[in-house]
Amino acid sequence: MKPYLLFVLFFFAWFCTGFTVRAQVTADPGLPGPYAVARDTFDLGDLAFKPPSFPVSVELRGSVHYPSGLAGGPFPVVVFLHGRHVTAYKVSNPSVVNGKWPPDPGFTSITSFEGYDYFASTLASQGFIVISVSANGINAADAGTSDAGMNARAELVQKHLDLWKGYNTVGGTPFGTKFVGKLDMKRIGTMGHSRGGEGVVFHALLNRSLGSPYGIKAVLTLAPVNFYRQLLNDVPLMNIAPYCDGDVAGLNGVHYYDDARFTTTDTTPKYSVLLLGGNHNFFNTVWTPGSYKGGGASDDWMVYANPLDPWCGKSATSGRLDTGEQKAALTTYGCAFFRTHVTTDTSFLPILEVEDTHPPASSKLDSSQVFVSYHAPYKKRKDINRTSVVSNRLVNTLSGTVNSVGMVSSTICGGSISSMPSCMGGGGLKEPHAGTSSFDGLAAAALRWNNTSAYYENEIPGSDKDVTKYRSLSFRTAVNYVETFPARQLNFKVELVDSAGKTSSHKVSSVSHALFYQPGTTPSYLPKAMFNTVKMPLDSFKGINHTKVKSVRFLFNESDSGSVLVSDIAFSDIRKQPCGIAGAAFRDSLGTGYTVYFTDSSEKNEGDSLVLNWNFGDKVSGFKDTSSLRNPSHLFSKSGVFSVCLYLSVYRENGLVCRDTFCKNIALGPVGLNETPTYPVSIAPNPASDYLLVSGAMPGDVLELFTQYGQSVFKTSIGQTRIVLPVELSAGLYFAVIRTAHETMVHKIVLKK
Amino acid sequence: MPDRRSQRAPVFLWVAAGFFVDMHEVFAYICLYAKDLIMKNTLALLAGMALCFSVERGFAQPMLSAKIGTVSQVGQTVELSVAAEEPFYFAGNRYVLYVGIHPFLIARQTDTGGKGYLTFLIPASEFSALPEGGRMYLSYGEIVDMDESGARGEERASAVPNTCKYLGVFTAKMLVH
Repeated sequence: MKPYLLFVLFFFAWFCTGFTVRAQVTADPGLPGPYAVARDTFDLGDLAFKPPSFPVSVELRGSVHYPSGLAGGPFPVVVFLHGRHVTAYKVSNPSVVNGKWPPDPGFTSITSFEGYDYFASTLASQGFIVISVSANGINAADAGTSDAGMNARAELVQKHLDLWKGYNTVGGTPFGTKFVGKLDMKRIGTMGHSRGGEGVVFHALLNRSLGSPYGIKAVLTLAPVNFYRQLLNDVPLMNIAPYCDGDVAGLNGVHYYDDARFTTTDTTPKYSVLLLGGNHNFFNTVWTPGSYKGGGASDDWMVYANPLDPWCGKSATSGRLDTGEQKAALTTYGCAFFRTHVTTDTSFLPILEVEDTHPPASSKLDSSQVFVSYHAPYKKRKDINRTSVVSNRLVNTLSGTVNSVGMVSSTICGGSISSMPSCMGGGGLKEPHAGTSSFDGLAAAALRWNNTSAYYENEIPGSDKDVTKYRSLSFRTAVNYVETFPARQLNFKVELVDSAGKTSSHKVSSVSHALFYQPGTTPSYLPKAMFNTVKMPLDSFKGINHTKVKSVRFLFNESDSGSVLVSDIAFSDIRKQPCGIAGAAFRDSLGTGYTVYFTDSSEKNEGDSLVLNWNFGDKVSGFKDTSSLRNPSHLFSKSGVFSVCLYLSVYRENGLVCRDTFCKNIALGPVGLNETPTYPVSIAPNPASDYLLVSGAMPGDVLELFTQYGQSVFKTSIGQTRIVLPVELSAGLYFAVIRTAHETMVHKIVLKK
Repeated sequence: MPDRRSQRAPVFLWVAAGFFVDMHEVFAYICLYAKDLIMKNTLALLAGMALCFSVERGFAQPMLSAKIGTVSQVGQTVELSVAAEEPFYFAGNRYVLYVGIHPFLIARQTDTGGKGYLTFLIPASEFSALPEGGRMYLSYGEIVDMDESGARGEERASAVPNTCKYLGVFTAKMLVH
């Protein structure tokens, strides 16, 4: 073939691809894996288990999907817990159903636990053992309990894990020794749907309260209820919210994500997935009309809400997902989540961390139908503005100035802000992130503009200007549909400004559809404002000095007017270290007296080995001043501030690959009433509220406040007697450390609000 | 998920539902721009009526027939029953009985003879402290920021009648001794 013909053919092929070449194609997590899949069921009786917290006995029944032959185990485990649904149907007339347990004569049980077989099968093909458990007995009686059966659901899951621990060690009926040694009970993921969603949250907390006999590595809440607002930290969490949920129409699962964000000791990520056309029931084939022999199935949106809604209703032009699309979406994003966090497969991180916003082909969705939000662990991000307290309107989380120029309004709303508890004034089902009379919701910046020169700016102070450590700039946002006229998609630019005044900007629309105008018109239900993550690679902001980023601006020059809600503005995602340590770090907690417990929270690549060396900065304690344990404790010799350092060395097959160091000040207050300061500096009042009076200090002395866990929360030079305390300091016990040229002294003070 | 299919609706109801497709959008559009509050409220009521006619008729709609049943005291608990002509939904969310702004969430759910019952369990001390004349609503799912005037409840009941029903005003005299 002649060379020019090759060129023509190549050009033709390129032309036919529509000119788009994706720089990165992430692997598809929803495709079947290499294993053939087998399935069994087990049934130990309708009343085989009495949950301690529940008034009646319930069944121990379920199914298991596993790699056929079980060669090569032990395999990681995923447990499914279905939600609340009718429990039995009449054999002679399956459309007659009820919620009784055990089933009345002539009735048989509805097998809700089988409704996720499609997802279980894909996971099993990828190397998981998937156990789906029946919870009909709890559903039948939970309405009359004060916890809606949530503790019983947790106890039921734990009971099943106990049962499978037995199958995994000595075997038992009905499986004999088939599963002995085949389950890895230290690598378990859980998924709960609807009330099962809150059930698996309760379970993770129960398992932890029992000393974590099972390794719960990931928790997925699927269209869950969130009646009790339990806070689940320290485990990766994904919430999936279907926009057209007619049952749990408040999409209350968003609070699992929102509530878990700002705990500084949490090293795990949070994810939220919004399916713009999903409903509540279609994730479960038993609850889906036409796919189960028994009755009780329905399209929940049509039954509870409004079949005529232009987006969630039943017209041919609505935005609804069909049953196949909805199941495919769960399979794709659920597999990505469990493979990332129950195993160590990092292939799908670009999907979960919102770096690749193209939905995988297996999901059957496009990028306007699914939105992933991602909250990086504390040590992998730098919060620019949490938008969590009123003062964040003028001063951001880095203590930088916030400028709102030419805006109609710029306020902080929601959260615990009593003057504006919901950002759009309505709350309820149309504002899922809003709080209730019992619980706070999400706080956000409400930004409204009516001219194209308006902008919102967060200045970056001091040493925080160097952002080269991070890969991304991220925030969450939603259109405020109440204040956006006419109804339309919005857009704005994100601009970085360096110290020399150079700028670089990108439109939000270049990376995300998140500024869509929320669809639907059903009063009280739609539209709903759900926050979605927008993430921009910092490398894409070219022509500026990334070691001296002076400010981050939102330029509202793409839409002549509009209103948006914004939260979680942060630099995110630490660049990967060549050696594979994501960052040495540790947590500490006070024991009795001067004893402090340390917990290493460093992350490393699978397969690497770590050597740890601790130095507690307490020379008086002699040889006990160092330790090579992973999680040591140390009895400090006296009160004061100690610089504790953790030295990490990473080894691979070929030897040492790198080292990392993390140091942190630990403040220990006086123990006992007889220990009195020797330096004549006094602090009053005690308890204090919004200021401290310091007497006896010299110019240049420094006052620093530590929490009782050693976290520095405030530091200032003592230039004058009266020191105003930051308003965001919460009430509680603090150690006030005063450093002079000669010594360091510690006062215990109490802040009252 | 509803727990029982009911009879299909007559054809004329489906025709009526079809008529309200466009009306619904028209109402929403007009409400958006209406400056006058009274007009807004009137239109919202009309829109609610439109939706009332347009709800899915293929499934049980127990909320439409819900009403207060018996109220009795057993030990230190007042059992307040709400009855409907069809079994109540048996699904993920909770039924909440509001008396004024006071929510009650714990209820036994049963169905007998094709009728549905929710028996709310109210501590006697709380029952006796409830405001006389308080407006009572039964809601499927909580109503955020429920208010004494019942405006939130009324809004939900008129907009999505399948999930909220006004049950009248509370009086302690409804308790049968």
